[in-house]
Amino acid sequence: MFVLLIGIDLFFNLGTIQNDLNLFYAAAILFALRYGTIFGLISFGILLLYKVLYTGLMGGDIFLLFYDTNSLLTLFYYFAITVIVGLFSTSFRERYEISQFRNEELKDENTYLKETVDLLNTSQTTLRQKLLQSEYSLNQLYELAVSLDLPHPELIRSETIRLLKKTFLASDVAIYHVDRSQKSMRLLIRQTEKKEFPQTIFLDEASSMFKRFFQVQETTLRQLDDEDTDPMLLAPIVVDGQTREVVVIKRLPLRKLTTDDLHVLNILFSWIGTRVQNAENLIRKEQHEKMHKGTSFYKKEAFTELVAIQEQKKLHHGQPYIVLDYALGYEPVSLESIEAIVHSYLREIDVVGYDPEDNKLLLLLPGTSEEHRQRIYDRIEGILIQKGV
Amino acid sequence: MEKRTVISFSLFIVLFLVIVGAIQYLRIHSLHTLLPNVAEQQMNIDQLKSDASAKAGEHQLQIYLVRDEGDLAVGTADNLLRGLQYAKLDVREVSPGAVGSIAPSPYTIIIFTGEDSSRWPFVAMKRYVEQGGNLVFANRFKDPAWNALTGVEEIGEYVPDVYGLNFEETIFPGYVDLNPPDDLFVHSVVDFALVDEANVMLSAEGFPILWEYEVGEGNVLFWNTTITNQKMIRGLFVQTLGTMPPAFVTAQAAIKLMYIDDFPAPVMDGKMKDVSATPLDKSVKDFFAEDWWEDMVDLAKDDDVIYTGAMIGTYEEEMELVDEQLIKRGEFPMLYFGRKLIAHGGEIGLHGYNHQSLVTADEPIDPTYGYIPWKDKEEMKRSLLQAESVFANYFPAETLKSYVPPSNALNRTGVDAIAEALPELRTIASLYTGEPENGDFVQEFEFDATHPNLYHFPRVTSDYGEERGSIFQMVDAIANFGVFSHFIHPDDVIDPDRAFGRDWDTMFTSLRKIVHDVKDEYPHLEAYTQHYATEKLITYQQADLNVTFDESTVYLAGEGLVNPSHFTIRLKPGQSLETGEFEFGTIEQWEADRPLYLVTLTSANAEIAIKGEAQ
Repeated sequence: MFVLLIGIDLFFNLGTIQNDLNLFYAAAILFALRYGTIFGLISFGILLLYKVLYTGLMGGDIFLLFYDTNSLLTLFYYFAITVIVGLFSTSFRERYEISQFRNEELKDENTYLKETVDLLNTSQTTLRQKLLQSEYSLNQLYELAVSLDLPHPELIRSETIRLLKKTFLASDVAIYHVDRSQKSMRLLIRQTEKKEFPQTIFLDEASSMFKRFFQVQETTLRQLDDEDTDPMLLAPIVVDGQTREVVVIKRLPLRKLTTDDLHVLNILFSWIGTRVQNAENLIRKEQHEKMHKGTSFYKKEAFTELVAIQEQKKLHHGQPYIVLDYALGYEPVSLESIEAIVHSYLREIDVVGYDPEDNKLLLLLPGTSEEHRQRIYDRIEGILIQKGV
Repeated sequence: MEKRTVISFSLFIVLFLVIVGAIQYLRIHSLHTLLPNVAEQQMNIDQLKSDASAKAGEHQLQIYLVRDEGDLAVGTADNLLRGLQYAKLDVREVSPGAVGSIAPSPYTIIIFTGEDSSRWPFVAMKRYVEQGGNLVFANRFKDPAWNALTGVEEIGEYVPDVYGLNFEETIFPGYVDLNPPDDLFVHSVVDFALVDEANVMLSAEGFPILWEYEVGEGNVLFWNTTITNQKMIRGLFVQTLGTMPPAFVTAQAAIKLMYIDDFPAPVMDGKMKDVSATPLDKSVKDFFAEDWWEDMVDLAKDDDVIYTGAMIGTYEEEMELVDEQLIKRGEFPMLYFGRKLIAHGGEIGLHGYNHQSLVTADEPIDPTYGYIPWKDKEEMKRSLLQAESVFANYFPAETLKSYVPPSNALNRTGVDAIAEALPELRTIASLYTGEPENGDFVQEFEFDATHPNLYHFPRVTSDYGEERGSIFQMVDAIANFGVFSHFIHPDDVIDPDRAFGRDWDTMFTSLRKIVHDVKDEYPHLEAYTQHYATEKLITYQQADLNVTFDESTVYLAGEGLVNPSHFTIRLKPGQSLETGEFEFGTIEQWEADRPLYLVTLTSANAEIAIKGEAQ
């Protein structure tokens, strides 16, 4: 701007700078007012230099600029005004900057406070949720306890599947029985629209997830390196300290489940084992009346009930079974000895009955298809003959 | 206020005070040595290139000055001779006995001085006039035998102490009528009764002072006075002479010069309202710095003048100060006023070590000055050298080129001292008119007879007043050869005897009117410092001018003429010149009752056609 002013002044030979009152000084003061002391002084310095040069250029006496009191006072006057105006401008600018800093600090503090309050709210909400969840979990536990308080393991298993579906939104659920050698698992009950669960799973051929499960014998979730066909969750049902059964869940919406839900799920799995054991004990106590004394051979009436139950399973769950009966050639001396022979060739889930009237040995083989009937019948018969029963 | 601002403010205050202190220290002590003054204005005194092939007319004006015996005759002849020469008129002195042989011609003028008509050849002069010659009687005389030539019908008694001078026609612009008690002119006249054909041009207190009278083919001018021996009539005499020939040309040096005496000089203490009629409540120093000088600068700018100052070292009478003391006293006036004077194109001349005129006890001086006479020339030289040392201290690149005598009093001892102490000094500027018997150093425009490098350039007028006698003198010098040289004293405003009760505004208004009128009436006068005015006037005087005439043409030619050169051309009533710009320069008409023109030449020769017939 000063270059322009000076250019105009020189071009038109106005000599404005030589006047005591001139636009140049006004411009310097305005500069000081707008941009502060430093720019004001720089402007004043430029004008002073121009005045000196112009005076020299026009043949004037530069010395008189500083010696002539009026000229000097004029320069000092404008210098002082420029400084004062500049200082006020700078002062206001500093005040503004300080206010701005304070404002920014307050904004930052407000942001922090807001975040803190949000965090507090979140914490409170979380705590409230925790509390609610806790209450909910207790309710769940109570409901589970009540639901699972059933007298028969089969009912417990069915209820378990129901609970898993209803409470934990699981689908494609099955429960397998683990044989004593822990080399295979036999399907006890399943709930699925697809027939995804095989009747028997041989652990040697099973996926690594099953192997891992049996190594730790704890609730196991499918991991990234597991196969896509592997179930989402495997959970043990422990009876007498041994994994007797395995809950296999193909689909479980883990994202929808809270930690408490999972905790409750674990309790459920533990609780199932206890309940199954209690039910078995109860059954065993009840069954004791239904068995021939000193054996685990059911009396005919009781055996018939078990077949009826199995028939219900077949009807509802499509689970096959076969019943085999062997007519014994002679009155057995001791049912206990026959039991010792037979049980070693039967599965744990297989049920043995004895009809003393017809002197028949009755076998109920759950999960066995009709197509294997003859082969199994022959094998058992062979054994009975071989053992001289 | 924020702490940071307080600190900044404090720093700036400290910085400000440091800067102020530094500048104040520098400006007092040595800044002027770091920042030298602007060099004195250089002015070119060019000369016109002469043209050998320039045409010339048949006629050339020739003036014969009859030098007679007697104080009046001698004084008048000496005086008129100077005036005619200043105007670059060709004048020859002849004795009364030789005048009868001069051939009559309209371009010939014979001037008789004195009053001893018995020595003049009446018959020859009558024939001379009747045959077309021009005759001037520069002093009054009583001789009925000459009445036929003078236009006198009846001769009365001598009348002394006739005051004033009244113009019956405008002879040259600017002249003012003088009336009693104005005592610039005090005539001794003869109570003449004139014939009706005599045309009175000047009068005083009812007496005819100058008239023209036609006799045959010729003209006669009769000065019924004794004032033609005074310098302040030279211009009027020259201009009235021009009414006689068919055409008349005078040269104009065209110089305008303004002096400020006692400037720069120490300024007295006190307040204006206490020491002057100017009711300002400020110190004398501040008044001169803020009011007086600013007014003077405005005047110079508005009315085209350049100032020549005349510095003095101290107002102390005795020469007791050593150089350092004198330099110290001159600090403010030399740095402030001196540098400003030069910065505005002016010149600093020398007034002296102090205000004691350079005269010894043996030389005359007005005793009312109360000056202590100088012991001898050597003491004067020491004082001059000491004053020069002050000047050299503040203006090391300049030299003193002009000298103005304190109180305009000087004598030969002083002139010698100046010439010897300051050999580079070129001009002594004292008074054009004055009283030598009271010590006034009255000068002509000429080189010093003893010191050929020294030129005398007298000041014609002075003071702030509009005193009519002073105006008359001013106009007369311009009418003579175009020189305006005026001086003032700054301290007049604080000197009750010289301010006459006037305040500064009144005095300045008067001064401004004078200078403004000069600019208006005589725009051809160019402003100079004394040094360049001297150089121009020397060039003017040394130039050869050749003015010739035909019946209808004026031929101007010259060698060594100043560029531009100025001339007045006076014609007979009924005749005129074409005005405007020409190849040779310009012509403009002046206001006068008879045709009067100012010609400005920018080439060395000109042919100027005269239009119309003389009535």
